[in-house]
Amino acid sequence: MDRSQIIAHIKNFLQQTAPSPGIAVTEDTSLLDGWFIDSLGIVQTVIFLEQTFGCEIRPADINAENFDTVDTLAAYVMNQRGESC
Amino acid sequence: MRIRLRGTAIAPEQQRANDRAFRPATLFTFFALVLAYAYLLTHLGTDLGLPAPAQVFRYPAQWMSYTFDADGNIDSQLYVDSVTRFDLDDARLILLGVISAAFVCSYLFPLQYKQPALVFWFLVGFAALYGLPDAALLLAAHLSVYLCLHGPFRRSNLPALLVGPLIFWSQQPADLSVPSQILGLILSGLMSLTVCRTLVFHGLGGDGVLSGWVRRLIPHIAMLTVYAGIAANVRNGSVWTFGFGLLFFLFQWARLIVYAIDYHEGSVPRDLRIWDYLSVFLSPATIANHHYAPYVAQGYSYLASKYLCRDKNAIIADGLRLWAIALMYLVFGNWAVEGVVRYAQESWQLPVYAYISQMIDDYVQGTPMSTPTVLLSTLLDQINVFLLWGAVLHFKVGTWRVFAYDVDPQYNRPWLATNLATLWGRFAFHYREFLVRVLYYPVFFRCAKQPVVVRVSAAIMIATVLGNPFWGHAPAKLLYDGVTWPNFFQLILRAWPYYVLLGLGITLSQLYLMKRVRTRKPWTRDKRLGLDILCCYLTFQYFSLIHIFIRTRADSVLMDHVRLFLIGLGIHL
Repeated sequence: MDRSQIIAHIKNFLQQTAPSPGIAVTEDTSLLDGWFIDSLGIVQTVIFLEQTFGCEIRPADINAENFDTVDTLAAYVMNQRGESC
Repeated sequence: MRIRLRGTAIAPEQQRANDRAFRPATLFTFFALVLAYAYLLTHLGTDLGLPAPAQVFRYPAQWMSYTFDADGNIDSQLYVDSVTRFDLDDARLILLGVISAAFVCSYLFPLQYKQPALVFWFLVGFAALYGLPDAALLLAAHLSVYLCLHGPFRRSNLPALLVGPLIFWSQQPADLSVPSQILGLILSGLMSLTVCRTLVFHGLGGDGVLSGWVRRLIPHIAMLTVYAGIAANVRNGSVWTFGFGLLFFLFQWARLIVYAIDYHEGSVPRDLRIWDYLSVFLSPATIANHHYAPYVAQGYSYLASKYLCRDKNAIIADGLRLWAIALMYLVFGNWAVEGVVRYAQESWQLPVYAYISQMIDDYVQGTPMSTPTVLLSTLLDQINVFLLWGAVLHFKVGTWRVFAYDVDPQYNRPWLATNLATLWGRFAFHYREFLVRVLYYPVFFRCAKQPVVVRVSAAIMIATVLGNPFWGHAPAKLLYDGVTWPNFFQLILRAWPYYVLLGLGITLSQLYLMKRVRTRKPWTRDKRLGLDILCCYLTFQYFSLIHIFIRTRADSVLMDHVRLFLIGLGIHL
């Protein structure tokens, strides 16, 4: 799975689970400022990443650096999968 | 375990930029609302020779008699609890005065003095309302926690020097004209300084087993006190009582626990300044109805991420908007419930109770109950809670925002929830976040190898069935009603079906939400709007109905509650 496919999957997931489905999320949209409304939103995202990309997510990985934007999330996923960006 | 996605602290430069704009309109609106509160909820108007609210609003007062009290102002549910030195109106007035003074300082002072000013005004208000000894005890308790967590790293002598005299003063208000009292203060200060410098600063500074345990147990002191108190009550019948300063400190158990989680995750600087520690706990926003949702705006990293995170005038405007909504709830809440009860009784000839506890009392006495009575009464009971929380918690969150903390609402239009998981998030946001951080996350991530259904179910059930009663409700209820085994048994243990049914409901709705592919937002105006309304009613009715199990009465038994619950479902045993 290449980077653009990962980004497409993540964007599709966020569109479905976000508080305002229908509002477009771009690669640079700040996810910390509104998409992750609460702790359970984080759990849903963790499960999605694990199930879709086979990542093993550790609590320490759930930080603002990795979860900042779709772009950083995709980079994190690729890093987890051992793929270079 | 480090999960602090939204806990990124705001840089001081950003905070200064957000603090820059001065708008007289913000100050004017703030004081206009404070005066409205003071006029409607205290006797300030009559003291100034103005007509009382009940006279001004004479016509509404005729059909809102329940709203006004004997002295003509509003019989408000917004109060300062456990005050014995003043009547409620005076206490409210002092509270509004303290909030106003703190607001002015917070709005006008340079950044580095804002939070110390909030702590200062909290202490002034607390001392005025509850007396200097209780304020001294509260401050001593927090300084002790600070010294245990941060003392070995900051090695500040002033807090260490203050703890002793504060405890001395809390036990025996010092008369500074008596030499022995001055000597007592000095000696207690030297003693606490010596203890801190020899035992705390050196003993707790390393990564040894003892220091680790102390740092882990100190934040759980309220929980430990409650359960030790219950054990003592079982053993010898003693009932522990606490001075109000200590009680207020213990009531901040959730705030302390989340602070400790932040601390152990490394989110809190080890050499934190004393003011930065105290500003998490001692804010004027925590005084009103202190035992209602004491977990609002908890922990260090949450507040650090919310303080001046955007333009202060915008945050304050949002806070004042919440205050205005709270005032509506305070004025019209009681009247609305009373109106529904009267309408049901007079128009439908249906016996209805405004509170589940009244219904249970009558049921235990032998009064038969019908399904409509149970359903409507449980709904009304919950509406009462919602109206009360809408008022009090909007005021609390609004006050945090007035001080430029962009705190999330605890109560966010819960009537829009179409499932139980969402309802809990909309009705008790900060409480849910507390349970999630304390119990849900640890279970969820420790079960990483398990199937998703098992992980989510285990995490939710442990958080709601164990965490909710033992971490959440037990300290709150027992510290307030008395730390005794009978209270623990009646208020917590006997209510187990409530926690189980709540956990099951949330688990099922969460699993459903995770499996379902969302194609529309709830409450979109399309042909499925009717389904939203039905789901909303069923969610709210279920949540209301299971409260039959938590409104335990001294003379009721579990089967009474089970029968009433089943009557609500249309099953008459």
